[in-house]
Amino acid sequence: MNFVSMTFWLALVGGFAVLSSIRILLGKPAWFERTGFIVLSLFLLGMESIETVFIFSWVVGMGYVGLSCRRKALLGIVIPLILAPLGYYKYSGFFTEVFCGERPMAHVLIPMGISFYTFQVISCVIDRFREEESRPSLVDYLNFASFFPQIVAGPIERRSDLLPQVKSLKFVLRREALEEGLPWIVLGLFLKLALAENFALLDRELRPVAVNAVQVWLEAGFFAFRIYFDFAGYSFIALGLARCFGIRLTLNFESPYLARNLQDFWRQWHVTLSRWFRDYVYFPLGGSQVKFWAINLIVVFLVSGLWHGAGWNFLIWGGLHGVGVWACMMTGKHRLPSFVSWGTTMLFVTLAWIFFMENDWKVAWEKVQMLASPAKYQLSLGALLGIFEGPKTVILALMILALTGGVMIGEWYSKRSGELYGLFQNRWLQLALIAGVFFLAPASESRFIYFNF
Amino acid sequence: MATFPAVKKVMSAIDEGRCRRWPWFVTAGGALLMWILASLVSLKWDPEAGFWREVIERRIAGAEGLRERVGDQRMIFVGGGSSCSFSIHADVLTEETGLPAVNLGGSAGMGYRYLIDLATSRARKGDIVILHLEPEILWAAENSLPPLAMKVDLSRGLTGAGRGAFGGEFYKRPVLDRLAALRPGAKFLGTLAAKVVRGGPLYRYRLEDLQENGVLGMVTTEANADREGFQSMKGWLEDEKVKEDLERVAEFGQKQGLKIYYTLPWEVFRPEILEAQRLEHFKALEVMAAFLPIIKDVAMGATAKNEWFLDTGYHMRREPGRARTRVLGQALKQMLEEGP
Repeated sequence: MNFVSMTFWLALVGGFAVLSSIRILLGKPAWFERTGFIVLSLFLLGMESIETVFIFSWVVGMGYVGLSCRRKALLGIVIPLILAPLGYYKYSGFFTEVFCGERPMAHVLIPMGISFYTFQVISCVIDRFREEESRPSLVDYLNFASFFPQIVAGPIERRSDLLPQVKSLKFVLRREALEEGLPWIVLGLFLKLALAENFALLDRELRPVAVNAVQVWLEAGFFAFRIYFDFAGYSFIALGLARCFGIRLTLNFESPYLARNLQDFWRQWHVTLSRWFRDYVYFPLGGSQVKFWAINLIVVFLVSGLWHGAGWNFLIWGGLHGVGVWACMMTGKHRLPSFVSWGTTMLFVTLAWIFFMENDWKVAWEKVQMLASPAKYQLSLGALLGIFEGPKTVILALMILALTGGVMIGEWYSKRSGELYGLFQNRWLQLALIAGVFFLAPASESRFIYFNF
Repeated sequence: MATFPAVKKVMSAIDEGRCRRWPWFVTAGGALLMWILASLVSLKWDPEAGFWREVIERRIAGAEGLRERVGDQRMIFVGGGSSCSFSIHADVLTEETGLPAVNLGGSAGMGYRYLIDLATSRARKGDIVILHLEPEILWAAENSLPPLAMKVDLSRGLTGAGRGAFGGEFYKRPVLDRLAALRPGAKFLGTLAAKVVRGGPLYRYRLEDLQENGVLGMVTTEANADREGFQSMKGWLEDEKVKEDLERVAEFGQKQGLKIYYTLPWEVFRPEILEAQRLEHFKALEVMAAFLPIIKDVAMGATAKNEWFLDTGYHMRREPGRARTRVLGQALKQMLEEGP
């Protein structure tokens, strides 16, 4: 379910057209309205691989068993069963390596979206008992768990947000809904294809081994923008697709790179995951009401790091953010000028990304050491140009950085106007974004980074 | 910011535009229009794609013309990236082997599958195909047709692709996906704009430099190509998909009754590592020999004479190119005489 592949869009349009025809032939029965979406979602998921559908069915099936339990204690059995595929595919290799010294399953691919739908199903099951909600009907539950725009990379929706909406799903495409969803899809495609993909290209066209610390800064900076535009792009396409069918998903990004402290950053970056960890890990540990709240905080960020990937580098990345947020909370009373606090936050976030982008934490550490070594900075024009593979890459870097600056100003203006990303809904700007997608995006095939998680 | 009347006016226009969205068909129509325009830019105005499209058209026309002239006589087809385009002189190969020969070289940016397909596309039973492929492009498998090959392919309908060893493989990816990949891209547009502003040529190679014997040349005042440092071949041909592809090429050769050989292009290296590099190449060719017979020569794909080369360490000047082809022709002749 790769939103930037034509195959996906063809399958979506084709699948929807076939199912719509069946609906009309059957005389538009009421039961078809919601069942049609389940069929469409599973068809689109099945296009990835049949194995993905089987694993998804296990997780969702176990979730429904959990929802059917009458005793809360049984969740102690059901939740590990829901988590089992995630544990096997994503973490068994890492933990075997940690405890036995070698990774036996290098060939096992992580099924697409497993971390996302597993967490959504778990939250649904827990909320049933926590908020004493009734068990939803099977059709509503399946729509909640499998709604295709958000199944592979979120947003991780809460039962209270999505379930009431899927109950009133209609298998039709209304003009107003379509016109509300399209601008988000256009923005998402622009961020992913015209920006994230060009940052990926830029990264590939830097010197293979950095000898100048400026290159490490560039690598980290390019990655920072790439991952933001990649994931936000995906999330906006998901949001737009859902809106086309009358469903309002959570805005998963709220201009996080405008945040003035790390706490705000985490409120604005991957919003639904941060809320999930807050509600299902941090609060159950006692939140900030206990003496050792700082430990709780760091545990949450370590788990968040591990959620992103089974590796020491992700743990370090999570730990760094945990310590950063803790430091932020401790020094909250001391206000810095806005620009300084924003700059400090961005500096910290960019540095931390080094541990995210390098699979080997030792390589990441070497790069951080390089940044701390003044002798490694070569600032002559020749040395700076030498970082890039050639003049074409320099031109590309200037173009993409200028475009990124424009997008950041747009985000700032929208935020100031009280409507996040509102400026990009402007209809003339929409045409410019469409032109950007077709003219600026590199021709290479692409996938989303977060599909790996 | 909004205190300036002009800025105020722009901002209010933006706000107004935000409130009024396009009808869906305007957005869809806009996307379709941009897609068509972007594809046209890629297909018609990309100087690199335009150049190679014309080169390949001429090569194919030349191969077919020669086939008509020689009838059922055995022919030699040499394919590969630009190392083949710049270094292989078909007339020299004919002089050495007595067999009519054609250079079907393209650019390494087209990917090995396209280049192999092109090289094998006009061969008939009994013919000889020499794959003069740069080792770099055999390091990792291609998931899809590289953009340059796609542009060349789509802009002239079906070229050599689809008739050779990889048959319809290129077309497995849906047509719309391939068409969507015709985006020119920021890098191309930026570079093109810079070239236009600077007033220089839009592409460094010219069709006038394509000679009748199939070799490309260029007029250059630049210094000789840089000498490369030692290049390890560790991991070469270890990619499972590359192995499968090579097995497929060998199988295709057997089925079609072709003799398909691999030979290393000559590249320039620093003198101090020359022997080490040759040894490294020698070991790598042993790996390749598991798939295809090898035409070896004394140079083992490495030389230290950078004065033999033009703009890159693979593009040979005229006389050294003729000498290299002569060595290749002699080695081939010897192999043919010795038999299997």
